[in-house]
Amino acid sequence: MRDRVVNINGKTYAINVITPIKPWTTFVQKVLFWFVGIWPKATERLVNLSFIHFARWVIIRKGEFPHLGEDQPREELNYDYLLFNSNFNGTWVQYIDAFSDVLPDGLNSIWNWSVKFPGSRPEAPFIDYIRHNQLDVEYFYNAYPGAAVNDIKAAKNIMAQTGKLADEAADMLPDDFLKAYHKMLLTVQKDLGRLGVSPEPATD
Amino acid sequence: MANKNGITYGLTVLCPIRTNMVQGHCGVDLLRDHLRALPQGRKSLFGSVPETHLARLSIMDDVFFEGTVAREDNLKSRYLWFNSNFDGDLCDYLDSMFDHIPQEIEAIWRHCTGFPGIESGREKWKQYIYKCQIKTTFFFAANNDMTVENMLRGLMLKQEFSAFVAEHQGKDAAEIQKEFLAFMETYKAAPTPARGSVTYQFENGEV
Repeated sequence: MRDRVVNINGKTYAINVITPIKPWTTFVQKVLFWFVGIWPKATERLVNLSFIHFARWVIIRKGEFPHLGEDQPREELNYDYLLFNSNFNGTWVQYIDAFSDVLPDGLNSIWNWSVKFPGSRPEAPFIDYIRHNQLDVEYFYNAYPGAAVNDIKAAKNIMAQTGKLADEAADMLPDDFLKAYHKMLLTVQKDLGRLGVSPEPATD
Repeated sequence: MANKNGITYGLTVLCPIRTNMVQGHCGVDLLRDHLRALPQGRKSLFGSVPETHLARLSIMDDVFFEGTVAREDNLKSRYLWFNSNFDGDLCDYLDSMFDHIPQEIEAIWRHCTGFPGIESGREKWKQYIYKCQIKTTFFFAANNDMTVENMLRGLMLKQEFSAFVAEHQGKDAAEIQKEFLAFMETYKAAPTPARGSVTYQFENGEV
């Protein structure tokens, strides 16, 4: 048994999922992803979930596995494969729950093409399906393990607002500065607060 | 370009792992042991490659069988699955890896088929990764306009400014103004927090 949980680094969990897809549906799926990429509204809910740092879907055709020499046998596969990676804050179950609750149609559009995908609802078969196809990480690096996605969004706003006030503050009379300072605090008040410590790692 | 979202690049690489035995040990087992023993925190492997946001290394032993009715697939090679999310373009990133962690690259990828070895030079290293790269179909990045450096400085500012606000409640206007300007100068001069660390504070700890 492994002595540490490597899918987690600080506040972030890394998930890898590999699912087979029927080769004759790959083209349709690529078109769907292309459409999502050019239509920002399609990812609005993903952005609003606000706990995913990065996520990616990679379709690899059965003949596209890298082949680097005659001493390596060529793959002979029946299916193309969908590789999914995500880096999110919170626990595994919270993530799958939120995905299933908020993006059921999106999940179905993506994984409906995968062999024996049970649908995103009801949730239990969906959780079993993801768990069955998940591959643990051997090494996971996180440049900012103490930060959640919302911490970074908050930091970005504080940087912008304090920087703006700092540019103007030296030339202001104290009373004018105080008004501007209070106005600035109103715009960042939801972003203030210390980061705190990461929650205890949980695999489920 | 699906590999990029804003200024962030999403790299996916599958490198076939050698099947040979090394001193009586299977290469894949040696690689797995090596990856599991890599340091975390401030001494993390990718902490020395400043563009890296998040990166992971996994070993794909095989694909999963979905049960009856589905046809069973088995991979003929095992693959080192390398994912990285970083600032900038792939060519520059591979240069940065080559410049900052050449020995670590050698220690990991020497277990992989076709790896030319670091002594063959950076162009061979880059060509090798290009051959193993799988193009991303769809890439999502929540904060796609901030570099690692920006994020770490922003987190430091968030920590310190939250304390500043609490400490200066109720003070008079001239004092807050003077100390706010001093605080911002301290912030500008403060070193960026270490990559891989959970501490985001001004290094001297005071304003």
